[in-house]
Amino acid sequence: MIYLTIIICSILGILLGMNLPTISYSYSGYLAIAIIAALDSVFGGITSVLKKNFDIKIFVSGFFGNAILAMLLTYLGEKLNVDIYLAAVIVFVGRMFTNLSIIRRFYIEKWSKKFEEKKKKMS
Amino acid sequence: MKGKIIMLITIGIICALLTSVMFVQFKSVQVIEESGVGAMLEAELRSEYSEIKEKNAEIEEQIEETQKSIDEYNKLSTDDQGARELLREDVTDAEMDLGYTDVKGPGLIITLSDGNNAANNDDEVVKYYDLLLAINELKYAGAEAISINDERYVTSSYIASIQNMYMVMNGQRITSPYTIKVIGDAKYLESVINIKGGLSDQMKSYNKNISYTVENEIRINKYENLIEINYGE
Repeated sequence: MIYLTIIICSILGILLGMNLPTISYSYSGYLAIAIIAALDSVFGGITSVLKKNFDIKIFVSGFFGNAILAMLLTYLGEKLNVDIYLAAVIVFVGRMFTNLSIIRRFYIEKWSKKFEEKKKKMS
Repeated sequence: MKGKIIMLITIGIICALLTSVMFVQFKSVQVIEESGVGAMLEAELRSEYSEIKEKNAEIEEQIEETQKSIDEYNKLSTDDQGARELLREDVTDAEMDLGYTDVKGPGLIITLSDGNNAANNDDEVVKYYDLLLAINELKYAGAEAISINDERYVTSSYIASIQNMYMVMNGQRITSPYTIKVIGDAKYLESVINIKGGLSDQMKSYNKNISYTVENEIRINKYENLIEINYGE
């Protein structure tokens, strides 16, 4: 059910995004950092689902809050002539890797357990 | 049940939002790269901008310096002693231009004289227009001072032919041979005289005599008369 929703909504989003107008170059940097932040939130959400402590309020607030904060920091960095967005990218991508490794371990453990159970049944 | 539906809708909206924004970004990046208006261009513009800024600052500095020197001149000119000196310099320059001072310098001594058969053939006599042509060409070559038979050629000078019998310059009668002393760059003067169809060729084509010597130091006397200005203001 939840995977179906995600897939359908993703396809809808792709179609919508294809038909939206492009943005100017000076704003694409902000959008990029917002996308990284949102992706980080999504992977964090998946991890929390697997850990069974998923909270929709935390997920939504993190999704928008992180994106907006990252954009604001990028803006501030531009004003200060410091590439603050690099710090945001490092933090978000680092967290994405951590979350991905947690997800990977979870599924590997799950599958290996299933595999062993099957082996036991066979024998 | 209700909570689950809300959750599903929220996750769906977020997924749609994320993917749509991502694709907008993909498209924008592609357009930017295709049109070449990419990061390269922005960086180029930035460097160019800073270069222009630097140049601007330099020019501003120059303007400031020039302004300073202008101020100095102004100060000097309000200062009595300085004003006198400036004026004296101006006056000597003007006198040299007008021909009111003796001038020394390198140049040529040109001699024009009537042809050998001048008594019988009027064409071989040096005419006033020959002298005017010579003066004009010498001035073209950058002559700074000219005299004919030691009569200084100045702005008000004239060479006139009186009844085709004799020539008058600055009110004085001048006769052949005509010695033209000219101060200036000897090389230029020489080349202008010898240029094809120039003074030398024209003289020789009528059998008039022309010769010149290059001198390291010529002395040209000042103009003795007064230049009177009655009508101009």
